[in-house]
Amino acid sequence: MNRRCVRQLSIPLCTLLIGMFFSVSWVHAQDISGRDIMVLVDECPDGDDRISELSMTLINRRGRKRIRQVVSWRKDYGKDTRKLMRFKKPADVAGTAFLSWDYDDPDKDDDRWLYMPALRNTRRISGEATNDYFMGTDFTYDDMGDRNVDEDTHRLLREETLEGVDCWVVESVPVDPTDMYTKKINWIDKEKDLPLKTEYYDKDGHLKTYTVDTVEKIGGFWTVTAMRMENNVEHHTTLMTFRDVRYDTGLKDSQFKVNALTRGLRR
Amino acid sequence: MRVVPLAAAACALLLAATWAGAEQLPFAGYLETRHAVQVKSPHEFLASETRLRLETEGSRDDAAFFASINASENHIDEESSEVTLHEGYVDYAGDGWDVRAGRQIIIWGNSDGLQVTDVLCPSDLTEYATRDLDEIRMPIDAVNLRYTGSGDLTIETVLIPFFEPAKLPEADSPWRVGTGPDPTPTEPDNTLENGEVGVRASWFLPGVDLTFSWARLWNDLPAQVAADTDPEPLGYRRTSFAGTTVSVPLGSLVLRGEAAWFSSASFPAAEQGAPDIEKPLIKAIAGCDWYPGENWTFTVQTLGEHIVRHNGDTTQDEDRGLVTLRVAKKLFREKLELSDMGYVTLNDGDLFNRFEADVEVTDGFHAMAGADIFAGTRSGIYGRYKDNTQVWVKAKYSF
Repeated sequence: MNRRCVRQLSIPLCTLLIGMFFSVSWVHAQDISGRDIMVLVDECPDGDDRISELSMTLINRRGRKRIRQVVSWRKDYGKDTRKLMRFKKPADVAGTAFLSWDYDDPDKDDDRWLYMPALRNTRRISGEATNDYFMGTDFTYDDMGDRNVDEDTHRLLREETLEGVDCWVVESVPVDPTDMYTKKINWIDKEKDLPLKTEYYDKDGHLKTYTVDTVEKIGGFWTVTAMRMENNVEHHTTLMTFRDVRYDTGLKDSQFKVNALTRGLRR
Repeated sequence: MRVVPLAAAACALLLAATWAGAEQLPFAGYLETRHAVQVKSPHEFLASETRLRLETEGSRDDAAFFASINASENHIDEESSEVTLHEGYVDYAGDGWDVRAGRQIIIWGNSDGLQVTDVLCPSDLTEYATRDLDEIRMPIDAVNLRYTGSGDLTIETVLIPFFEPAKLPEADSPWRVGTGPDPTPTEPDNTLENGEVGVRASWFLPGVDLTFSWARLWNDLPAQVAADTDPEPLGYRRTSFAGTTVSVPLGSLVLRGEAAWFSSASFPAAEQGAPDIEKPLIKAIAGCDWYPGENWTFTVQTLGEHIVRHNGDTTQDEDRGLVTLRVAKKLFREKLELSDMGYVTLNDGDLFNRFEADVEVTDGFHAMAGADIFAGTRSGIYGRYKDNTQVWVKAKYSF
């Protein structure tokens, strides 16, 4: 009796589980939406904290180069993130530090402070996302920040292969009509859930293109270690490379306080 | 060469420790040359200086040191050429606290080009306000102890064992107010009871920065402390200070405020030849930074001063006001920055305006040019320098 009951129960349960498995797989393969894909990108594992050294090479239309180097520390607080960047090059801005507390809630402005070593002073600066370019590069502060998925509406355009990698192609249109971009077209690596290429459009058309050059697995996490942004209008390019990338080193909360800006010591 | 004992000891200690570890010291700094010419006839050079700043630092475990020296050549007054220790200090960080001891610059306050709660470091006023703010600030010998172990609260205690006055223009300087040599002010003795002490509590929180500070110090500017018939009429006076600052971001704006109370400030006496009158002084500033994007920055500030118990025994107005406006724009991927900052006094209507163009020629090499304009009544704090309106050029290579 008992065995029969178990059997009677187990057949439908098994059927249900198998059905659910195929259902989920089929959705992932066929019915996944643009937003679902961008959520996968947003939630792509990247550790609880990260240290890296960023080198930026700015190349103008005549091929002249300028170099900027930054050491950065990042720590996650749930969906929110705290970041500290300390500039190493060029020499005239060496020691300048930028601290930001970035909030996932798009209605809440980030908190930002700038430490200028020449003035020995830390100033609070506006936390509103700006369209200003970061240190003269082709990346805006907004491009470099963590953008909430729902600040754009996303639409899966197609699936295609980009340099041998299977990708979803997703169009993202800002909800805010005053955003500097009118749309972005993203090529998302299906396996790694990483954007490999993004085309940025403004009201005048195709503005710039972001391309990933190198992806490495570091500390168990897929990490973009070389990328470029090419401005099609100004014919200006920024190459970015990350080195000495370390994840989950146990960075302390005190590292992401304003106090940490004014003293070089880390504890 | 001026070497300050506390700073020298701190640097020597850490240099020895670093060398013991056979680590190579990194060097940084800059080479700068600047030249300013008076616009009005006889078009004299008001400044002509070349300066080398050399900095080094090192760290081991929880300790670190920093030292910088200035080697300057004054092309107008060779006797002013000098090599000085600018800063030299050691840092040590414990768990929830840190300390910095030695010659250092300590800045309090959040204003742009104005000082209300920024009371610890004296100013170098040999060229009045025409130098960059980081050049006007003078380092001091101090021990700066911070407690950071209580959540968002930081408590900072600063001990300044020896008084250091502001640096004023020499008697033959075009920036000198009045004529003829003044008597040398009598400085307080270098004793511990004549030291200065300050405490500041600060919170940097989501959406607001807040500080409260208190200090017992000396006024950095000399006052007439005795009748002008006295053999030593000039000296320095003690004051107590309490201050607060606040910064609040609001979209693309940052609102800032500072307020300070001084138990004693010196004001010229209405009676001819009498010592300066001592009265409490209240200063407050309200400011707003606007970051509209596209690399524009706008800053407006208004400063007010109120003499407490003003009863007509001083020639200074009971209330004084000042408004500043700064506009800056970065162009060509931050290779060119144009900025203009103006100061206008509300009582006399005189003004000081500084325009500057800064070009990044290559990484670390900047060429700058600008104009400092003084205008208005000669009795005003800016109008008195109207003959010194100048144009200037500067080149700076950082390494």
